[in-house]
Amino acid sequence: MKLKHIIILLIISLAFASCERLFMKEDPEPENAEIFDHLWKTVDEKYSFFIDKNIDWDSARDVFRPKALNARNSIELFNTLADMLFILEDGHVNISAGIDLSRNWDWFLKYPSNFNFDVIERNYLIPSQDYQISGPIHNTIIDSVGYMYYESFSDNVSTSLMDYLVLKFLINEREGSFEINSLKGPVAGLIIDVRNNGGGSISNAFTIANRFADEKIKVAEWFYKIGPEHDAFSQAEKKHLKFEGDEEYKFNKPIVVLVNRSSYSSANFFASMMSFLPNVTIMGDQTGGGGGLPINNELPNGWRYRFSSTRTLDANGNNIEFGVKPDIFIELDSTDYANGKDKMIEEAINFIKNQ
Amino acid sequence: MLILTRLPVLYLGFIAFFNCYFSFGQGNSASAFEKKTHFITGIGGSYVNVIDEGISPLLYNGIGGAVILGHFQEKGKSINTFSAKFDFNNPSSSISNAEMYTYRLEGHYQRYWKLESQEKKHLVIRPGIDVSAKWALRQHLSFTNNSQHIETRFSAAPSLMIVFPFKLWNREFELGSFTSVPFLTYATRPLFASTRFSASVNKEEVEFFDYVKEGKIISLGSYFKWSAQYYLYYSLKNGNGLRLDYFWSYESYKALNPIKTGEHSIMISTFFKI
Repeated sequence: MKLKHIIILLIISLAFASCERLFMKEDPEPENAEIFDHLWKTVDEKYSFFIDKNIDWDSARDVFRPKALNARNSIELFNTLADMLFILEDGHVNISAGIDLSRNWDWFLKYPSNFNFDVIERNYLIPSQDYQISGPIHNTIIDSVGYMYYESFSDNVSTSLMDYLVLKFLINEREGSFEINSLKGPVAGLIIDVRNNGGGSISNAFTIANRFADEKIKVAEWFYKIGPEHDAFSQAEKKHLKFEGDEEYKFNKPIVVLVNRSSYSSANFFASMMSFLPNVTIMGDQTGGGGGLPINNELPNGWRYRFSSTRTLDANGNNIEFGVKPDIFIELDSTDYANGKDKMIEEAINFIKNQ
Repeated sequence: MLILTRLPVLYLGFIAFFNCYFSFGQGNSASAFEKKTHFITGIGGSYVNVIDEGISPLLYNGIGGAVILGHFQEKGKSINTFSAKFDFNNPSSSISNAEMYTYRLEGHYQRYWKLESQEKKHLVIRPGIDVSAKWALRQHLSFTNNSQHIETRFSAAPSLMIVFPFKLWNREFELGSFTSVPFLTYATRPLFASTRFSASVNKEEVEFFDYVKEGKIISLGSYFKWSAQYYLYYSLKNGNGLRLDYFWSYESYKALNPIKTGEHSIMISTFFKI
């Protein structure tokens, strides 16, 4: 190659350098078809529950694509996309635009609420001398049974906070008793109430559950989506519980976890994990489910959406996307509310004291 | 407020001046670029364009800053350069108005051979190689479980250097350019629909090397990178030097989640004679 050729090559190189935007185009006003196709394809390739839920996603495209193409404005397009996502029957699936947030809340709206915090606050928490709000956890002692209400796994908890709460339930100075870890102690057991807890950070679920675990125990398997096929998942990632906290204050007494249909996502996973501890009983209504880790993405027009991208099986092989069944089923009714009673708490106290 | 908003600019200016002050302040000795070893420090601004379809189909672009450290050695028959560059950017999407932070650490070893037939020419051409490693983290500020995407690259590329030494106002300058296109690259990306890496599945504590295991060897066809660097070097009488660089690179990886990046930076560097 002659020198002049090399120089020409370098001049061309210089001329084209910095022109990468030629290859990185984006359409500031994408067509409805482009928006629809991106959503359908991304969900098709990355959503994790098509097989478990027996969803025919191809027919969803056939039904909703013409509607999306004929949408006359962004509201019609949004509603069409939302309707398509609705058939996934997944509380972790949303599409968010400035105008609206799509949601499928059938996982709790179809069922009784079985929870009223006002009843708990007025009749169990406020009247109690032991009532504290320790970080995000409302806690007290009701009739010699410890009670914790945790509203959202989005609010961080720490092992040291859990140490404090366990210490509070094992040493009750007001009673003058310092007996630890015995049924003769100040609390006979503990109620962990995660009703109406819609989830949040999974690490908080582990922080609390690990505080009540003992030896390392397998509680779940996670599967990550590794390819566009509906059945393309990674090898199982085993999830374990193992005690973390102050070794001197392990809590071996009976524990009841209260759940309802609004216990979703991390709360659902928490109930599932806790069910594998030998001293734990799950009471209440079935949890709402939400066993997939949701991930976010964006559409070509800037709308944001999320959907489940993993599967979770509990240690017995049950898919927790469909919820965790309680060991003891209890429902509240309007008479309970009127009388200022929470039947689940009452039944849990009786259950613990009868152990 | 005005002073606060100008602080980064003032800081960059101070660092540039600080570097220049000490390079000018050394003793006077005869200038000769050959057979010299230099320690490189540099600072500058950068600009990126990113479409990472593991995160979003949208184009994110924005400015940031970069620092570079390096070692330059010129021998009779070759020129060897080691350099490490850290770059931080805050790109955003003009469509979704969402933002991300990008952190990029890139190391290069470049070796250029001096050809006898070329060295006495007015315009000198040197063939060479460019071996590079890159680690990049993109953190989307509006996402939750998949906010952080990491990728690594190890590339080997043939490279070409062209140099045009000249004198202006009785001072020595050098205008030059490097360009390279990798022919072989080892790349790692997170799992298809996750930010986890396959090597970290079933590990409670993720280690740094989990991000570089179980990658793919890719080449032209699925991977293309073109990088170019243009510089103006000013040789000082004391053997030190100042260099103004413009870096540019375009990278396209046709993985399951395709990614395209365009990166620019303008750096001013001091070459301390050691």
